[in-house]
Amino acid sequence: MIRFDRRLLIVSGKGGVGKSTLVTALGLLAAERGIETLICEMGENEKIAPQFGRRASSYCETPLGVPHLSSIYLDPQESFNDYVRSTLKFETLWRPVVESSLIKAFIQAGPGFKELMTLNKLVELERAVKPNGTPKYDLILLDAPATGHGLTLFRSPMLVMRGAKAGPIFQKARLIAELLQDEQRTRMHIVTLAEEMPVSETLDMVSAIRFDVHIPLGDIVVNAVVPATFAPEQAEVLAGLRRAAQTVAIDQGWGDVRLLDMLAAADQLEGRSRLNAEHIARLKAKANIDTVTLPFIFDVPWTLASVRKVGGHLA
Amino acid sequence: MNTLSKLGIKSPVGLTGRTGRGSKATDLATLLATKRLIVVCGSGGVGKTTTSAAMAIAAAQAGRKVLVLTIDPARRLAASLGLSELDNDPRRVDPALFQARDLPMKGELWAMMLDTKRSFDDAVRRHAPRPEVAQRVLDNTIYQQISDALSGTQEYMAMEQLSELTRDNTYDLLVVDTPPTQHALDFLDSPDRMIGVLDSGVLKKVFGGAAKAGKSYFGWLRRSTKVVASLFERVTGGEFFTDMVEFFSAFDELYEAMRNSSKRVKALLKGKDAAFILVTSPQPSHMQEANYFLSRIDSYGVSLGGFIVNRVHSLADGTIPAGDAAPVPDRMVRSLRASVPALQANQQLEPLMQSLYSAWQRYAAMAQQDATQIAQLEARTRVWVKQVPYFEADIHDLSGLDKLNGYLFSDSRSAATERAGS
Repeated sequence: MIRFDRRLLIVSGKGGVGKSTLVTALGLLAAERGIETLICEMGENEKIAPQFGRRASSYCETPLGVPHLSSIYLDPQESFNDYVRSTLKFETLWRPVVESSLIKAFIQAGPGFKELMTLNKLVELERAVKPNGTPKYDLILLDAPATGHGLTLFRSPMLVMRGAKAGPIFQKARLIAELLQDEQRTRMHIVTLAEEMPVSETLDMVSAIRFDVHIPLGDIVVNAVVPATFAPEQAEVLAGLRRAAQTVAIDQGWGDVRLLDMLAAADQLEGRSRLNAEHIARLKAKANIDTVTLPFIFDVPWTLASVRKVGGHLA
Repeated sequence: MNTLSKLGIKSPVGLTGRTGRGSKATDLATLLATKRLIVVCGSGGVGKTTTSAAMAIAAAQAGRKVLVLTIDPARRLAASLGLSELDNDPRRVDPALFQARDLPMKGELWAMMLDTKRSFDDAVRRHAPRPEVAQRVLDNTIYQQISDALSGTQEYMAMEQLSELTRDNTYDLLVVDTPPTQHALDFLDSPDRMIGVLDSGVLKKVFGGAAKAGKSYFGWLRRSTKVVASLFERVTGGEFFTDMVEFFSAFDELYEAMRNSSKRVKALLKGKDAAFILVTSPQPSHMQEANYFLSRIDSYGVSLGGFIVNRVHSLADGTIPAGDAAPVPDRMVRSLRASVPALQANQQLEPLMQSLYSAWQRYAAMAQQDATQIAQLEARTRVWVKQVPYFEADIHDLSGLDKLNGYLFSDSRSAATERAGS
């Protein structure tokens, strides 16, 4: 079970493991409990707002049509402009910087700069308050990109701090690092599939987060685990059925369905299920961290209702 | 086989996907026998590395000297090829491994793994006009941080490696497994983006100008009208700015050579000796990516070989279960009890058939979705689309790769068997 007891929940993992689905499911779950939630999208792959029939998230916090749930796209360029405005204060000073093509190029080129500016917006959102002084959001969900680039993202404050050594950008980087590493405010969950490469990469990521990036780790969420088709006590009658399928013609009157095809499909699912179980065991043995498993949802087509089913397994 | 007509989908006009010479698609076996460069694209998690290895093996088995350049192979896959120390240098896969499994091996199979940091260092040494220029770049603190951290470096270095590896004719064929980028074609843009970043006109003007003015870039700034740069310095802090100036000026003498090298690779990728193959899965998000790839590839001027769809749930003969499901397990139980004496009185039969039937329904729904996705892709392209089923286990040894090749070359293999039989 995933608790919403930290303001910032980072969901990270390699592409294609269902990270955005998990973020959406968590957002829906929290919002249903009346928790004021903001989903933050970043990178090039914005998938969340369209699931709600909305256009892609923008730099403005936009409601998703579900009470207590909004989303935003953390645009590094826009965030940098905000930062320049707040540092230089006067429009005559900041305007040339914000409009300069040099600066635009620098955001792309400066090592870790783009990433730092993305995270800078996150810090501001975490600190945002309502007019009465209470936090604007109870929960901020960050859909963080694939593992390799994800690590670049979370390392960027350190990278910039080492490069800058002092000055305003150094101070920004330090604030970001403080939020990311704060046990009281932040948790990171890593999503994976129970397959060889995703599990190996997750194990690498766990040690990088633990020993290098120092973000407080929550759970590993193992997504799309194929459940066992048969109970162990069904083994005997299943064997009998297999023998029968080989020898007797028993398919008449079943329409298009043939026993051998059914057994073949079940074998495939059983194979995946066994494989998933092996990799979950490997993950548990090596990661030394809590794991949450989510079953494969056999929904065709995939809709928001399917996402809610995923959420049902997290509650 | 075309699943399209089976699903009643009409083939639209205006097919995309250039197929090189002529309009007819060249099959995979012919591509592997005739091309010098096969670029394997695709998003992460679709089995790209495994598929690249399988294709390289097939080409080597047929007699070519093949090098497969991988990015991040599964340790077990590399180990099963006897390559526990796979690194930036090409290593030959021991032919005895094939003999031991009774698999033919007429050519040579070589493999290497891209080490981004080392490749970048090598490229700097190669492109620097003098050793001290290279050393200045290698010693720069900002360089040390970006050379393996900056996004895009991996793709760029894969291209640099390609440029190096194709300088002589050591190998008949290179199979390149590309890094898992957001969009498969990002790989092609990476040298431009990387060099663009390092050699951006504005950046060079400001930072490079500062560097040429000597150590006292403050003096240069005062003299120049670059107000923006000084404001920028206020925003970031002085030391950071100094380091950036040093970084860009150190790179100054490398741009030319880097650009030339990238030009060479691009010409190679667009040439008649190269073909691109996209590996994907029927999962809608991966298929969306494949369609995007297809819509963009023509504008890159590269030649598309075909698509390999891994992890396909398939039903024998495309059978699809009857719509109203509830009575089916009951009917099955009855007919089983009637025709199989051993099952006649078995109380467990009914729950078993319920589980079996619901597993089948789930599987069939997935298979149907997969078939629709693949049919839509087939409808949009003129090149071949190969399907590989979802295997029950991960592929991590030679027998597994051979099994995969059984599907990739099903047509040519059965033809060979027929010839052998006659």
